[in-house]
Amino acid sequence: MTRPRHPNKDIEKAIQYAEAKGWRYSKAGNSSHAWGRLWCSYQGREGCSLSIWSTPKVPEHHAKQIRRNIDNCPHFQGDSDEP
Amino acid sequence: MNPKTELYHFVLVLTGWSEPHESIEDALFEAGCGDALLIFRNQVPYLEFDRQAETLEEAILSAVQAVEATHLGARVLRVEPNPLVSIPDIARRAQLSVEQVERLMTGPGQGAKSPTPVFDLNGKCPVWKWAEVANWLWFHHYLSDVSLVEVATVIENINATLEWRNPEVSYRRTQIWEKLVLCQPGVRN
Repeated sequence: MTRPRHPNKDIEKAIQYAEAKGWRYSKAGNSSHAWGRLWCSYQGREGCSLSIWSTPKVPEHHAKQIRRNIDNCPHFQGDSDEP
Repeated sequence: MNPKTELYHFVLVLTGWSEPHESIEDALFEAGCGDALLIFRNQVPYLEFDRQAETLEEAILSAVQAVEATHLGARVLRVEPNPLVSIPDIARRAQLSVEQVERLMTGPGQGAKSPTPVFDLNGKCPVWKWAEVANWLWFHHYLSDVSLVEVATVIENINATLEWRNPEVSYRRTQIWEKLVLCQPGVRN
C-alpha cells in the first residue's frame, strides 16, 4: 500500500527510519486524529504497533517518541543504518 | 506570570485494550493525550508521554486522569520507568560501573549497609526498589543528580496508589494491616 506523507518533516523522517527497519504502514480506520499506524516486522498479534498523530502537541517530541520505540522494538533483527 | 513548567518523560502501562482501534485513538487524542505515543506490544497498550507540567506528579496524575476519562474501559496499571531494578539497571541509571554497583549492593564488608533486595534475597538475580537505592546512593555521595531520588519516590508512590485502587488488593491489604496493628503490644480490641 502506498502511504501518504506525514505533513510534519520530523515525523516523516521518523517514519522513513521505521520503514528502513522493516516497519509497515496501515491506515488508522476512519480516525480523525491518527495519521496512521506503523507495525513492526513481527507478523503476529505479539508484535508492536505505533499510532501516529496527524497533529501531535509537539511534533519534534512525537518524532523522538517514534524513533525511541523503533530502537526499543524487541523483534528487530538487522543492522541499524539510518536513512 | 506563568508558573515554571518542565518537560517530563514517562510511560503509562494500560489494561483493557489488546489492539489499536480508531475509537481508542480519537478518544485519547480528544482527552488531551496529543503529547503521547500509543504503543501496543504483545497486546499490551502503553502510552509514552513527553508532558509539560509544573511537577512530575502533576504530569503523571493528569495523564492518568485523561486516559481513564475516555470511558473506553482502559485503566492505568502502572507507571514506568520500572520501580524495581537489578544491578545492571542501577549501574545504568546511576551512571556507575556494574562492578562498582555489585560491590556496593552485595559485596562483603561494605561500610554503610545498603538497601535490602525486595526479591531473590539470596539468589543470583536480586531486585531492589529503585527509590530506596537512589536515596541510599545520594546519601552516600554515589549519585550526583538528586532529582533522580525525587523522580523515583514519586513514581513508586503513584504505582503503590494505582495498585491500591484495585478493590481486591485494597480489601486484602486492609485486612492484613488490621491484623498487624491489632497484634502490636498494647493494642486491645
